[in-house]
Amino acid sequence: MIGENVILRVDGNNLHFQRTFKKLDQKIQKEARQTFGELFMLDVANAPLKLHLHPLKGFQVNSVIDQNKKTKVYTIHISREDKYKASFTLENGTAYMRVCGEHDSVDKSP
Amino acid sequence: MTSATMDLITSNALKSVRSVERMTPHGKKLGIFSSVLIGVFSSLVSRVLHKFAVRTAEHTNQLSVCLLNIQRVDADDLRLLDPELLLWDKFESLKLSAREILKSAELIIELGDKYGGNLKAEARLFTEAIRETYEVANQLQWLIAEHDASRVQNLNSFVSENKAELEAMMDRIVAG
Repeated sequence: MIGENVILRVDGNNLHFQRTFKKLDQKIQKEARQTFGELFMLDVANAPLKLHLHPLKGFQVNSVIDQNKKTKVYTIHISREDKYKASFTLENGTAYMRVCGEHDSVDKSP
Repeated sequence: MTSATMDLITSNALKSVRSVERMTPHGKKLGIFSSVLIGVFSSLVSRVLHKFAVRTAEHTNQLSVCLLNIQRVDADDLRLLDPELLLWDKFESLKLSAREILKSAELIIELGDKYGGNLKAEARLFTEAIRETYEVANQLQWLIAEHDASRVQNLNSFVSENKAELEAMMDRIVAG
């Protein structure tokens, strides 16, 4: 049985995610795509260290599935030099992508 | 909430951001004054800083009103507040300017010890006002993004279940 921490799907419907991804340099976009590709079947509780995947402390965001609930938001490094990150929530096996950008910016507004 | 009310909320938010935007070039000019010039014109700089602080506080109040209005939008209302992400970009630019202005104002605080008078106190007041604007702008940006994100997620056009689908999805995002 697949645990609730495992990513089965990646959802890129969020307009902010789309917009912020498009703003990245092509080189970073390419690296980000590779990182996103590694998300499938990934257990967020046991992710490889190189991804720096972890829930962001002090942040709870709206659940995509239930507007009345809050959920954890995860961040992940998307570039080799660790300058860029992306954020997502994980609900029912779907990683709902939220935003991409520079490290500090994503940490402040994931 | 009617469509007209929603439009009003968005236009008020935009208006408030633009008011702050109009002020930022003046704030940024603080950075071009050398320490000697600030020393010579310290009382003038103090007065300017005071004026900036008051105006900044007024604009922050307007942004806070927008924040309250957005918090009152019904959860069932599926309309987007910032479909073109115009406000998002404005807030990003505003936050960037605020950080630049803060750096200049913090330098003036350091000079305040040297030149005395009200310079340090006024620079502190201005710094606090800018920090508050930054915080409210960030909250507002966050709130609008959260509001809209929850309403566009119901679409299923950008979902992938493997690497090949992800590549295709990202291609469509970049092309869109």
